[in-house]
Amino acid sequence: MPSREYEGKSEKDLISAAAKEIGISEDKLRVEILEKSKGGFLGLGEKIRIRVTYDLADLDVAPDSSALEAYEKVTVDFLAGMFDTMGFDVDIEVDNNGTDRVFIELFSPDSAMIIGKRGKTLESIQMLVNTVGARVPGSASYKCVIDIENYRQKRESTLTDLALRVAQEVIRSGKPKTLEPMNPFERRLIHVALQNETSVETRSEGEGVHRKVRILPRKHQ
Amino acid sequence: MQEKELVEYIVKALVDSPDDVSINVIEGEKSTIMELKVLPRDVGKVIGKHGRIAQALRTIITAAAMKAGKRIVLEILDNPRDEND
Repeated sequence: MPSREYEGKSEKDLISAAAKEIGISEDKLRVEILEKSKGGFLGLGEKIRIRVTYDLADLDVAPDSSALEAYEKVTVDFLAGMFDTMGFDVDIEVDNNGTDRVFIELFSPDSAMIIGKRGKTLESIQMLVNTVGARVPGSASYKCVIDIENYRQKRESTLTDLALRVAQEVIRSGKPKTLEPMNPFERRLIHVALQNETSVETRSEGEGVHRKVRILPRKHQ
Repeated sequence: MQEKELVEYIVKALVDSPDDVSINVIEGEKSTIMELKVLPRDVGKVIGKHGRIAQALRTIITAAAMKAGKRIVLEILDNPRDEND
């Protein structure tokens, strides 16, 4: 169980400050008084040191640095161990930009294999890491995004280009066209890329992993 | 065998009872079959909604096996009779 120490003048103030900082309700903290010195005249110079101990499971759902730290540690440890077992040489960097979204960046000479065909392997790795991370108490709002060699960014611009190209084709031919199956994030990119395109409309069709975007010519009034 | 360790490593991180994870490797001529056994209450954790976790697991194993030039089939055993073993 994690614990922290605080020092100040009044026990009550310290406990409420600690609860606020950790992101937990006051009654969930186990408080231990480490040191207490009575001050002189009228209690001036009074000093108290406490240690609070808490259970990760009791943390408030609100973003909180220590639960986030635990989340980052678990996800990165899991990844590092996994690549180790796979025999892949990978460096891992983490950054959360102070948000609930943890960005994990990978650097590896084996990047092509880690990405896989159309990013399938990278997607699977991210999914497993998120599943493992979800087991960390208080991690409900956290999610991690894994990228390698800017793959996601490149894929984004590839998909946007594809959307615009296919839209032109649909306008020219007047016939709808269906793209290959994509995950929700990728489908969204296509919809967003074409939302201001007045001559076509986009629709998602199919179920689950087979869901694809269909680009159709828009009927003019 | 490296791929067995990999499956073991990932699955143990997903289940509630890591000590009850066992993998039986059957080496074939062209491909290797791995039979994964977990406690009945952990089976869902390894398969996931619509088999998404199982699918991710298989994709990663395939990638690792590719590096070693092998073909691996992962089977998740889901036999209620095994409960009384």
